Amino acid sequence: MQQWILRTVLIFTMIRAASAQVLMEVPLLLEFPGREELVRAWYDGEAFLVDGEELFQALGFAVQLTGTGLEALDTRHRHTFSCSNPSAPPCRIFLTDILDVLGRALHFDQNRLHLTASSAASTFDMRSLRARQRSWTEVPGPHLFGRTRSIWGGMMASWQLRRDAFGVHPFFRFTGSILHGSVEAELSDGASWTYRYDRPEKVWLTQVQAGRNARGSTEFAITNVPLARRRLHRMRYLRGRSDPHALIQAVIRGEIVDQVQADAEGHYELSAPVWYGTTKLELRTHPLGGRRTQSDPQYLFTPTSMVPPGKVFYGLRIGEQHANLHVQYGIHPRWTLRSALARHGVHPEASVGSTWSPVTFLAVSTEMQVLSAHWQTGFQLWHSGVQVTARLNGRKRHFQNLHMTASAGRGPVSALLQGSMSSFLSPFNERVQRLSLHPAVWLHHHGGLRMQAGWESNWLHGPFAEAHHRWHFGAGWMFSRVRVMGFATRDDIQSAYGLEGIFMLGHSSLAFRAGWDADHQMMTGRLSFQMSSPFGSLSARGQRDVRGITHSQQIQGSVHLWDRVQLAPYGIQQSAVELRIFEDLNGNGLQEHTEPILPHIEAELFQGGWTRLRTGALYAAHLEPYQRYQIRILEASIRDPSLHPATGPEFSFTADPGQRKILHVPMQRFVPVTGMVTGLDRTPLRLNILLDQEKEAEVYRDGGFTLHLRPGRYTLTVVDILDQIPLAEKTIQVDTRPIRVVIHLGEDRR
Amino acid sequence: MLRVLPYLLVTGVWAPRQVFAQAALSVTPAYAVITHDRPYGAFVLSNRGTEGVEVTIGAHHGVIASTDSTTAVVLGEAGRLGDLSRYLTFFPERCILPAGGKQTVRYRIHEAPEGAHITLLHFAMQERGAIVDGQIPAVASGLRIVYNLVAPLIYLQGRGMPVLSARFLEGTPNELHLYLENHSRWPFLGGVRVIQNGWQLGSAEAAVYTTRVVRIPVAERPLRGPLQLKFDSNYTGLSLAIRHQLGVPDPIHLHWN
Repeated sequence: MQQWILRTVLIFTMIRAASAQVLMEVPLLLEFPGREELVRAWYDGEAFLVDGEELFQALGFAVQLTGTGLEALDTRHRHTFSCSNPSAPPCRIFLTDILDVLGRALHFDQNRLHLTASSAASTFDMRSLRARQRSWTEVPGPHLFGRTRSIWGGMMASWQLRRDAFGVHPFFRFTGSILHGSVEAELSDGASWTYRYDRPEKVWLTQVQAGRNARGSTEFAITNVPLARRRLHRMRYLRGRSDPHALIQAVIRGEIVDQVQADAEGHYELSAPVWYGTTKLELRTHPLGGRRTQSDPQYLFTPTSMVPPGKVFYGLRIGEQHANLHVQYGIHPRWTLRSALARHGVHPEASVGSTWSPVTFLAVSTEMQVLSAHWQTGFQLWHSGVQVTARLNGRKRHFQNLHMTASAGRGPVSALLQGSMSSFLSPFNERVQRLSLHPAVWLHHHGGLRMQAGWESNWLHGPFAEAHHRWHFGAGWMFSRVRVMGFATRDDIQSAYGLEGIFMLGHSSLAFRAGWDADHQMMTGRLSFQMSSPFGSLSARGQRDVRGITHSQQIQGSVHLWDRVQLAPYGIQQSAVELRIFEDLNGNGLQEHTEPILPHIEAELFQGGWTRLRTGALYAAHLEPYQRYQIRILEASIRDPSLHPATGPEFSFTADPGQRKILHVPMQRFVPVTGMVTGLDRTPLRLNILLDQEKEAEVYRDGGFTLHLRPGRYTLTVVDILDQIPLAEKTIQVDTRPIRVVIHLGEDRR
Repeated sequence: MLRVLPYLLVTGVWAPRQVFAQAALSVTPAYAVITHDRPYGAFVLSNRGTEGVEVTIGAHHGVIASTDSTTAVVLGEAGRLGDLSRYLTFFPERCILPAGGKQTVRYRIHEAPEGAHITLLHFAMQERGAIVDGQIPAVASGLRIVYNLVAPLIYLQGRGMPVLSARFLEGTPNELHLYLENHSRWPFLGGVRVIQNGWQLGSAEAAVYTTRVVRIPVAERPLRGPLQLKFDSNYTGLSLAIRHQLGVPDPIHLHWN
């Protein structure tokens, strides 16, 4: 009897265990803007379960498996789920649990086994998904356009020779990349050098710096502050109303960061990333029916003193004479605390402060030094093209200085008002107040009239009351190669009237300024000349100061020795890019001597302008280090329809600090391959053609497809995009002539 | 009434959900005139609709021409204009444009002989539609509507002058219908002005490759008597250099009955 009971219990347990494992595996199509991915899922007859690790990794989360569950983390979210059967990997999570947590961000279509991620999702970082998508396309051809580091490279030596009333002053500067870091050395009155090693992708240590300054003091510094704008600060959600079904795009630096189709009532919701500093966002509305696109620019301002919530940024600098440590902590998206410890010689100091941004375009910061009781407060406002900055400092209850800058611009007209007010003790121990105001107005059309007018007034209140006034006025005209402007200026020392301008001819330019000093009855002026050639450039400048007191001559230039080393003019150490678009005749992706640059092909650099070099390459300078820039090859400028950029028409690169980055864009000749899929047992719209197991082309409604390939041997696979089953396979050999391929689903079955 | 209420509710809920996606293809520029100095260019296809579209691109010898009653695309024949399609290469020949997508179609002319040549770039568009799992292939390929767009591409090498003849077809108080015929090997693209007794009655732009009916809006019906047709080179989208090369035909004198 006992054996019978035991067998019954055993069989019952086995049946239970067996039935618990009866799960039908189903492929779930996860779709988010611009991309589709299949994740594993199961159906137990009542509910759907999904592979949590696969799903959350696809949604951009970092996944940590705990004993009984799973944690999905990103910079802003932390979601916890329990696995349905912790003892049997993978961690399967009930889809209903996920939908409960992620809310409307995911839509599950049970009939189509389709999981759609909303482009306006707030429960996961949609922007990072897009960024990752872009980063995949960032390596488009045989060249990596990311940041270059080298053991020895990017060398640049800069020189300048200046002669003035005090003698001859040589300057020499050397920059380059050594041991995967950047080095900068300067030799003028004293010798100084700095070695900097950047780790922009890291969190706790982004930069290490060591060096010696011109006074002979050695310093060492580390920090984890994000370099430039590499790190995102927050997401901004934009809701609005437009024409029904209009296409709404959020564009930052020419790049579409989000786009949605407005609903039938015109409502839409977009998300846009906001970086440190000012992010200019353009909201483009494309109404249906071919009506004109509307563009609405917006400025999103995040002061660099704001730290993302929960993050800690620090900076530590240790020198022979001083040391300081700064720590910033974000306690709220709009509130950051700061503290600092410093030692100057034997004097210690500590300070605390905070930055508060009550609304997007306003920030107020305060700081108090604990021991010396000095305080300072700042105010920044940025809204609708108006920017106001004010700084106020003092000690205990006494106010000392107020500096204020306000600027506004609309169209070609911009205005600036600078002002300061100071209170200080005179040598006779009397308190003196100084007030300074400096308004200025500019009118700068893109081509044509230019006008500048400025006024500066200084008042001194106290026992020695004084007032000083200065003004400046200039007006002129700008042509394509000539800019001429007449000017008149008046200050405490002199009145001067004259003409200034610049003539440009090819790669040479001549700039001049000639005036008459009415008070000293003498000519003043400045003349500079600059020319460049493939072998080098030269810039010379002579100046006789407008006050008639000093005069100086200066010469600087560059000599291009070979590709890696060049002697360049002083002051040209900024990040730059050179784009060499060439015809890649042998298809190896590298530019040979016989493969010329194609000088007629135009490219668009978002947030930057090109200069066409004499070699035919495109050159852009003054880029922001670590900033990712987008380039688009303008296809309409490619004369030969069979030439295609191997990089694709759009790609991005990251600007290197202090280096000219050379990007090669091979233009390759592709052979057209036209094909037809026959023997169809399903709609052709479901079929994709994979080229060597990578998605290459969609199939047309009539079963046709087209490919453009380099000569070689390829395997074409026909795949159903719904179930991802390979249906047929064919190997083709492509030489220089167009070919036609027929793939029969029945005969060419794998 | 109570029996009808559920049906009304169902209809009310269902009706707003029936939103159909549709493609909307546009081609810019609508035509192109190129010369030997710059024998290449590009058309841009844009899908401003809400559904994907597949486009098949072809080049055919032909013109847009008129009879007395209709204006239509005529294939295989272009009067005295040369066939440009045999000297033309373009890329791509087919493409798929998602909703909101764009595609540049680049072309180049190789060693065409002296004279004026024309081809019609033909953009055949089909909506791609949503993938339906249970769709039957035969039905899927059978249910298709092809929308066609045509953009003339004209290539000029050397010099020429259009020679036109004209006659009035009919006139209304607001419009004159003019039949223009080109007898030369050089196309006419420009403005047509109707002048009577020194007054301009109306004007319009016209592209006359072989024959073309031009509708000229007028402020009032002309008086019985002589009329003059004057031509100029003002045609929307043409550069000054192309206008000079196209040339302007001599005025034509007509009689209005």
